[in-house]
Amino acid sequence: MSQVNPTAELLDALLGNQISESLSAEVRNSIYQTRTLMNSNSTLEENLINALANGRSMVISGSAGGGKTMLIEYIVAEVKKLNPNIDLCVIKDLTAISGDRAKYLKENNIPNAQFVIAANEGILRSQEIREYLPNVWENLRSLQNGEKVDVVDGIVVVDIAGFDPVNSSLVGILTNKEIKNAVLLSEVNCEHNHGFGCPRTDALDLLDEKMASLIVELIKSAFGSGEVTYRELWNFVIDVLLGGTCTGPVPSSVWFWRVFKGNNSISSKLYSHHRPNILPMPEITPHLYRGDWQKIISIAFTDGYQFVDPGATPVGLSSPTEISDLLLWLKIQTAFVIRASSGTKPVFLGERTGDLERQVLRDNRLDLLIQSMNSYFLRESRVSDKSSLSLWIDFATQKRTKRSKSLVGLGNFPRRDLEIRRSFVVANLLGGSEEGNRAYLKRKNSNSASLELTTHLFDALIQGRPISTERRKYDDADYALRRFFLQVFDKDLVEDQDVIYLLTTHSVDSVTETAFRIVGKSHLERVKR
Amino acid sequence: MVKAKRDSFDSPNPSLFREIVKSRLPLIPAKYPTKPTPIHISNNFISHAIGEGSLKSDLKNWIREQGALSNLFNSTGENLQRDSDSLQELFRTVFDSDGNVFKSMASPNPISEKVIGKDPTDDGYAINLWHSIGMENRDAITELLKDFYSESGESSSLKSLFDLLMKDSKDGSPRTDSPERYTSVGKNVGEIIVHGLRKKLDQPLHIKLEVVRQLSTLLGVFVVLGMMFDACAEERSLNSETEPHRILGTFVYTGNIGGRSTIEQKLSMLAIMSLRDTIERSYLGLNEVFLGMISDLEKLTPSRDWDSFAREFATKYTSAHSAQEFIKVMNHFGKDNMSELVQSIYPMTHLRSGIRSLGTKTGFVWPSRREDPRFVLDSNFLTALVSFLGEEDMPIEDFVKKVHDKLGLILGYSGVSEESIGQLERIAGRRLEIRDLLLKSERLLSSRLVSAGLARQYSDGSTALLGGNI
Repeated sequence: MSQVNPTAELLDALLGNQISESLSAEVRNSIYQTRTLMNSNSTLEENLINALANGRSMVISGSAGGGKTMLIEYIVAEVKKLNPNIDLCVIKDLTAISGDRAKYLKENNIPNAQFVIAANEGILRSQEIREYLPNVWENLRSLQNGEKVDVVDGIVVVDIAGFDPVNSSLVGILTNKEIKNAVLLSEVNCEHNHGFGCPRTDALDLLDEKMASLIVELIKSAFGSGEVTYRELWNFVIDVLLGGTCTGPVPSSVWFWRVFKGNNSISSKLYSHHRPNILPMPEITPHLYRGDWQKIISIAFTDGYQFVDPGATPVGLSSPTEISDLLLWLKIQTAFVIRASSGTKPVFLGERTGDLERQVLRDNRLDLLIQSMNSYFLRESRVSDKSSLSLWIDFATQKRTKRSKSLVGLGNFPRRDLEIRRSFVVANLLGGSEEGNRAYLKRKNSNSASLELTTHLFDALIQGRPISTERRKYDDADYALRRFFLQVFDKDLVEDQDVIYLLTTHSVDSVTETAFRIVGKSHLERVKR
Repeated sequence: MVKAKRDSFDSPNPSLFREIVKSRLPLIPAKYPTKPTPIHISNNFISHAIGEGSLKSDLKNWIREQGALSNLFNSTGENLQRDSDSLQELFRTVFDSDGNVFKSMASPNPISEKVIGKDPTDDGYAINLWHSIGMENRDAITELLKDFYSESGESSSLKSLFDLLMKDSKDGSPRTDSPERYTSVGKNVGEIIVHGLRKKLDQPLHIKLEVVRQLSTLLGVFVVLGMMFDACAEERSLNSETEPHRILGTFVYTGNIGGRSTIEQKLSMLAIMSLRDTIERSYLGLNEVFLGMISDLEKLTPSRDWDSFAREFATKYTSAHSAQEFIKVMNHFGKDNMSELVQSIYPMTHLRSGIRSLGTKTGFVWPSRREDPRFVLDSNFLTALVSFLGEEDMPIEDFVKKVHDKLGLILGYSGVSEESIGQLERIAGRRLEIRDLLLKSERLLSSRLVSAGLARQYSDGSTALLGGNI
C-alpha cells in the first residue's frame, strides 16, 4: 500500500483547481479549519456541531461555490468524532438529487428523522420542498433581511452565503502552512533556485498575516458589500499562489503581482478598482526605475520583509511595455511592504473611494451615514447634522432635464431611533446572533423600514444629489433613499412634529432652508433656523 | 388664394383626424402632442372618476396671487410679505412641482381630491383613457379613489397644513359617466389601476403623495401605450381580447444608462429597433383603421357619388365645423387617394412626436431628442410599475412575465413567448442573439430593482420584490 503524501496531494488538487472535490477529507478539513485562524471570532462551526450532537436538524443554504460542501463535511466529521453512532441523514447537495426531491425527502423520513441538508436556496423555495422543511425558506428570507429568528427546537437554518469568506477565511488560507508547503513543492525544480532565487518562493516569505490582512482590506474596499463566493476566493488564492511564470524580466509568478494582474475575477476587479499603475510614490519611484535596490531596501524594507529581486532593472530594459510592467511590479511590492510595516501610505486609489462605506460598515458609524445622507440632499460636503436624519420629499412627477428646485421636509428623525443592522447567518440557534455580510439602515427594533447599504448607495452619497437628471447613474439610489424616508416617518418620533420644512436649491452649492410651524390649527408662523 | 386653400387640406390636422377615428383609436395624439404632461392627465382622469374639487379655484390664487396666503399668518409688516412669499414657494413645491398651475387653467398635483380639476391641456387623453377602461373598471376606480382620498388617522406637519387649508371645503362635482365599452389596452390598464389602488387604501398622507405620483406616471405611460396598442392590433387583425404581447411585444431597455458596456449597447440598440418597429406597425394600423372605416361605409352604400359619400362619412363620425372641414379634405384628395390623405393630415412624425414627448415626461422613453428613442425604465416609472403590478416576495421572473402578459412589454426572458422572440429576431436580423440578450436584460433589471430598494437579491442569485405600501 503506497503512502499518500498530503503536500503532493494538496498541490495536485490546487493545480487542478479541484479544491473541494478531489482532496481527502482530512486535508479538506485541515484547510477548512483555517477560516477561524484569523480575523474571525466566529464560533459558528462549534455551535453547529454541538447542535447536531444534541439531536437538532439543520439546513445549510447558499449559492453554488459558496462553501456548503466543505462546511457540511467538516461538521459531520466532527460530530461523528463526538458521537460515532449518531443516526444522521446527511444530504450534501439536495440540488444534485435527480428526480422527485420531495419523494426523496419523504423516503428519508424528513422532517421526523434527524438530518443535515445542504441546498441551493432556489430549491428551498419550491412548495413541495417547503412542506418537508417547514419554515426554512421563510427563516432564510428573514435572516437575509436582518431579522433575527430564534425558535426553540426549530430547524437550524444556516445561510452560508451570508458569511463573508474574505473576512473570515482569506488570511487563514493565504498563510496556511500546508498550502505554503504545496507552493514550495511546486517550485522544487524552478531554475531560478540556482540563480537569483525563485521569485515565487522568495515572495512567499513576504506573505504573512499582516500582508494577507492588507489583501483582505483591498478586496473589501473594491467589492464593498458585494458577495464573493468561496469558489471565487479559491480561484483567486490558487491563481495568486500558483499562477504565472518565474521567467522573463517581469516574473508574473509572485503573489503581489497576481493580486492585481492574475487571471481571475477578483484580481480583475482589484486592478480596475484600485488602479495600482497610478499609485503615487514620488520619492521612491526614481530609485525603483534605476534599480537602486540598496536605497530602496534602506527606505522601505526591514528584516521582516526581504526585497524580492526580479533579476532586472527598468532602466536596463528596452521594451516600453516591459519597463512599465517592471516598474509597476516593483512599486506594488514596495507599497505592500511599506503598508504592512504599519505605514499609512501609499494609498491605492480605490481605497479612497471606498472610505465612507468602510467607515460606516466596519466601524458602525451611524453618525457618518446620517451626515452623508443629509449632505446628499443639502449638496454640501460632510458637514451636515449627525444627530438626526432629515426626511425630504420630492414632489416632482414629470421627468425634466433638471431636478426639482425645492423639496419639502417631513421632519428630522432622531439618530437614537435608527440603527445599522446586519443580516444574520443562522436561525434558531443560540439567539441567532451570528452576523452576516449585508447591512441595512433600519428603524430601531422594527422592520417597518429598511434601506440596504450597498456600494452603489455609498457611491451615490459621495457624489451628492445631481441637479441635472441627465446624470441617471444614481437615480435608483436616490429613489431608495426617498422611499426609506417615507417608510421610516413616524409622527411620534420626528423632532418638531408641527414644523414643515422647505429646502430650496439656488445653485450647485447654494441652498436655503425655511421652516413653518402650524400653531393651534389656525395659523402659521415662520421658524427661525 | 386657391393654392393656399389647397395647402391647408394637405397640411397636418391631427385633431380632425383623431376626431374621425376616435371610436377606434381614442388615444392617438391630437393637435399639440408636446403639451400634455402626466399631471394634466391624472388631474383630468381623477376628475372624471370622482368629480372636480371645490378648492380648485382657491388653489390658483394660493399659488399665483401675491399675498394670497398672508391671512394664514398673525404677523404684520415687512416680515409678513417675506413669510407669505416663502409660504407660497412651499405651496408651489407641494401642489405645483411640475409647474402646471396658472390663473386660467390648473393641473395641480392631485394629492387632495379638493384641489383637482379638469384642464384641456391634456389634449383629451384622460377622457379617452377613462372611456376606454370599461364600465366595470370605471365603477371600481371611482369607489377606490373615494376611499383612497378619505381621511386617514396618522398625522404629520404636512397633514396639519392640509387641514388648515381645506377646513372650509365642500363636496366636489359628480363624476363623468360614460356608456362606452373598453378597448384592448383600456381593459388591462383599468385592471392594473384597480389592482394597485386596492393595495393602497388607508394610508397616511405622506404615503398617498408617493402613490399619487406613481398613479400619475402610470396614467401617462398608459396613454403612450394606448397611442400604439389599438393601431397595432388593427395592423395584425387582432381583436381586443388578444393577449397584449401578441399586439405589442416591444422590448424595453432595462439599464439606467445606455451605451456603457457592449451588452448595454446591444440592449439599447435592440430597444431602439423594437420601438421603431412598433411605431411603424402602429402607423400602418392607423392607416388600416381609417381605410377600413371608409370601406365599411362604402359596402353599405356602394353606388353613391364621392361628395355624398364624404358628407355621410364625415357626419357619421363628427359634426358641425369639423364635419365640414373633413368633407373638404376628402373631396380634395378624392376617392382613390385615401392613404395619401392619412399621410398628409396625420403624418407618422406626429405619432412619433406624441409618443416621444409624453414618454420622456413619464420616464418611459429616452432620449427626448437627437438620438433614436427607445422604451426605458427610468426610476420614476420603474418604481410605479413595481408598486402597481408587483407583490411582496414576487420573484423577478414572475414580475417580468406579468409586465409581458399585461402590457405587452418585454423586460427579460421570463415568460416571453416564442412569438415575441421571433418578432425581435426578425427586427434585429442576425446581428443579435436575442435569448441571451433577454437573459442579460433581466439580470440588469434585477440589479436596478435592488439599487432602488424595491427588491432583495438572495444567496442563490434569485431576486424577489419587497412589496410594502409604496
